[in-house]
Amino acid sequence: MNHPTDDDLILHFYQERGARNREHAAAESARIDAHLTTCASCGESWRELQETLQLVDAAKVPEPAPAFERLMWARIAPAIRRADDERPVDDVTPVAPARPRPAGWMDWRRLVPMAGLSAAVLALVFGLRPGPRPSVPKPGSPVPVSAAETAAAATLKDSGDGQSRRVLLTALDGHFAQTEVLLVELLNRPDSDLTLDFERGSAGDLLADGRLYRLTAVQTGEQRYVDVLDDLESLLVEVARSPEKVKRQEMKVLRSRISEDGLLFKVRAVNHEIRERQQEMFTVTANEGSL
Amino acid sequence: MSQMQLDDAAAVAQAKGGDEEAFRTLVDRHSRAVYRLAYRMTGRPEDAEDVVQETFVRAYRQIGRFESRANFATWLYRIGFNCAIDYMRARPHRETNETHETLDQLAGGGRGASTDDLVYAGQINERVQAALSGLSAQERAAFLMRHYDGCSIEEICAALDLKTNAAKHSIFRAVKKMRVALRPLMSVKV
Repeated sequence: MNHPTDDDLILHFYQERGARNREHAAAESARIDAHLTTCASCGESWRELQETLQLVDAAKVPEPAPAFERLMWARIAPAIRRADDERPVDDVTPVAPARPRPAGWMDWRRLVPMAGLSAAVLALVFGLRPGPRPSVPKPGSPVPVSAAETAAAATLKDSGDGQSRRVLLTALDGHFAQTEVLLVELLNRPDSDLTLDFERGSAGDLLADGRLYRLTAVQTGEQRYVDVLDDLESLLVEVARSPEKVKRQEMKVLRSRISEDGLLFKVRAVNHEIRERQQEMFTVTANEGSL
Repeated sequence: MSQMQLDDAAAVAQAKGGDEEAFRTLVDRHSRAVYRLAYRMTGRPEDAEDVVQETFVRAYRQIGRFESRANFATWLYRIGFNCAIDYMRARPHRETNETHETLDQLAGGGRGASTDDLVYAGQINERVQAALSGLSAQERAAFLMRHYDGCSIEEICAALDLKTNAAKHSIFRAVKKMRVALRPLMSVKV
């Protein structure tokens, strides 16, 4: 018979038969088995495949802590209680809350000035001006890259040493952390307290800063962050424009938007990534410094 | 086994009626298994925990659509794989950066490894996990479903919304990459 291909051997290993019927499949499998006993090169490939997959089997997953189930439940329970409030049942989008963080340091009322400071630093480094509060598109519509942004992006070149990227990451770290806290706050707000006075102000600040960061992200080619900032923008507009005290139904709509767009999930994922990148940069810098 | 299935079925039925404790039973029973698949998908404990959380939240939201005749664990793992894929796609920078470096390093880095090195199971774990991280999210999910969970091609297609050929080729590519990445470990043993 013809030599079986690597793909044939993989199917053979997993006993996945491409043949049309069971009888034919069994015959094909038997033919491969017979061939492997007589063909040295195919036999060698077969053994290597088996060994590879045995090594995969040998790899163990580290067991989580003994209290894993209890800890997971502590994270899952609040999220499903919110889901209860919001269900339609068919909704399959994430509503995961933030990983528990130490209380206090992440209080968003503290983060507001931090974010503003980041924006100021960014503006200084890039020579950008946040300008007035952005006029924003209708919720849900994409935010186009404006001519001004494109022009700014064309004139502002990355210095090549990663400095601008580093500044952007630092700024975005604070920005997304503050956004995350705002989203959690909105999701967790009890229906007995529907005053959004502080949230509106914070959303406005995040909107203005986010536009600046977006411009910088466009310039540095960080499209991923541009996309997330775009996703957030329409929600921030809604919060910023909402009345001081919203109705229960309006709050429900806001929460649904956070859930349906997976905003919290996206924010957490990009912030996670940003922190890793910052750590990598820090390590590289430290290593270079020690040389 | 059938007792376990009955228990799951009863817990699901109660959870559908809004019984939080019943849902907690399901979390207690299945969260470690979901963690294992999430860890293999993401390669990091903290990411795996995020995926476990997201998986159960999605399961809770969709539990009304769960067919009581189906196997709850299988249904849950499908959600878990999709959550893990979403999670990984949400951080493409890390994914792509690690891919080439890891595969390159693994392909060459193991040459000359002594037998002593290999007695450490931890090294195998690390290498397999690093090799897995060199796969795309789709390749990894298809491969893990086939290899660890014994899912058929049809089941993989259904879970990942793939055509038969796409599922097969994901597995083919995954196994080939694993062979390249793990070859240095095997050459010592052969």
